[in-house]
Amino acid sequence: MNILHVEHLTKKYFLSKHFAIKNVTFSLAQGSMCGFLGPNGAGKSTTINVIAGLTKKNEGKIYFDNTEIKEGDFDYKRSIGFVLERPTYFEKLTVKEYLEFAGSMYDIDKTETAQRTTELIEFFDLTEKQNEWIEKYSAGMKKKVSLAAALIHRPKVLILDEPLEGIDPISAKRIKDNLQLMKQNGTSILISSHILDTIEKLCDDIIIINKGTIVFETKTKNIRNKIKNELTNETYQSLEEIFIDVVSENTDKTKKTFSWL
Amino acid sequence: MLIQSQLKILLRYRQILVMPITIITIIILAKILSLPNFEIHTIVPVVFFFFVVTGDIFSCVFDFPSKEFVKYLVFPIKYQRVLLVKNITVLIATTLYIIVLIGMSVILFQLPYSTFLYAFTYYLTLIFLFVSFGNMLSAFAPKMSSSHVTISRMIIVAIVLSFFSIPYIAIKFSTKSIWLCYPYIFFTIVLWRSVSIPLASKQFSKNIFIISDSMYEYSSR
Repeated sequence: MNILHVEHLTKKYFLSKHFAIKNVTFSLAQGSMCGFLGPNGAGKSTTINVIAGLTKKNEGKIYFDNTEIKEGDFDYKRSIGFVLERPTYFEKLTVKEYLEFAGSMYDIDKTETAQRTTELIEFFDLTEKQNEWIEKYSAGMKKKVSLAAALIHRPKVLILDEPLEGIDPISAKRIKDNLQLMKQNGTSILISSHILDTIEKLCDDIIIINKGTIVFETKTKNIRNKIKNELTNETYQSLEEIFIDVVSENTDKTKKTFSWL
Repeated sequence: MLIQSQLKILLRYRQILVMPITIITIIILAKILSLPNFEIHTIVPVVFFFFVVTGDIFSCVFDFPSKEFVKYLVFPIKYQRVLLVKNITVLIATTLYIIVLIGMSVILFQLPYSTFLYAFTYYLTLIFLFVSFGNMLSAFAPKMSSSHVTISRMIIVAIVLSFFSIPYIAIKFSTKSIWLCYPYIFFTIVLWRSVSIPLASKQFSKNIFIISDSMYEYSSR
């Protein structure tokens, strides 16, 4: 059963000549993790922002739990945790204040919010700096704050745009383990990232978007030794190989070097 | 909770406190040092200009909600409610600031009310012209560099300043009124604008005037 379904999503930014996304259609199955990949500017963040209700779509439909999300709808956000590419935390608050604020936005009981806040702060190793304003945090720490706020209400669906960007390896490992755990407990996760190895290990499904259009979709288990390159007729050995092949217009693109080096 | 958090964030903006603190510090210093012939009134417009014209206060009061309020939209909250909170915050912040300014100017400096009113209107007009002119430039000529915007703003300020001050100085010249400090103010502005990066006002223009479909589209509709 699909918890999130996106149908023919199209977005063209004001005064832009190109479509940011065009006819994007995909589904996120309940309790699954889907890697949403693409080069910079491919339309990943636009898609996620449209789902989050931060960017208006031109065309298309979004269904959450089999109910269509209309413009202005906000109730569906109670069940979703967002980590967006652009920061969504308030820099003039401390992490504790921000998480308490996030808790109140999701109508979580104060005692429960306080308890979850403490746990999240500990989990993300933010205890030492919990009394400092978020603006003083490093990029990685800020990402952790976003993640913490996305988790505080125990969402059914997590939509993560570059969640591991700038995060130290220990925390990244912990986050990945917890994402796996959440998935096992039924949470559906849509994750956009450039760390292909991680995506390959974590996700059940892979979607590759390029120039606003979905160009490749598969189950992760099919990646190695099953899918064949149309030109060479050889099977792919990693997600990276597929990604480069699907996204590059010609195979020499990755081999480009600087003329002066 | 929404308004509470908005106000909490707003009050943590350093700029909101800069001007009152500066004025008070200058007064205290002047009193402590017992400066001979210290004309307290002359310092007020200078400080007003120094901080207000640079757009710091404006960016703080108006830019802040535009930038910040879009962040609420990731939470399950009605767009109209966020907009309402944004407007209430701006209103409260502006009212508070005006009250503080009036209170400080009238009580601390014992300015005659009519003089203050004139000065206040004058500053407000100037600020408005200064900021809106820069915004117009940014909106209609987005490729214009920030230094060009700054220079254009300075020209506008100089024109407005002259328009307002010359007749006033001519009338009041013999009385050594506070308006004599105009040239000083003018050079302070020129100096300040020349050395500072108009970041705050640039950001302000970006949020208010450039209509984009990005994350800020909701804040500008």
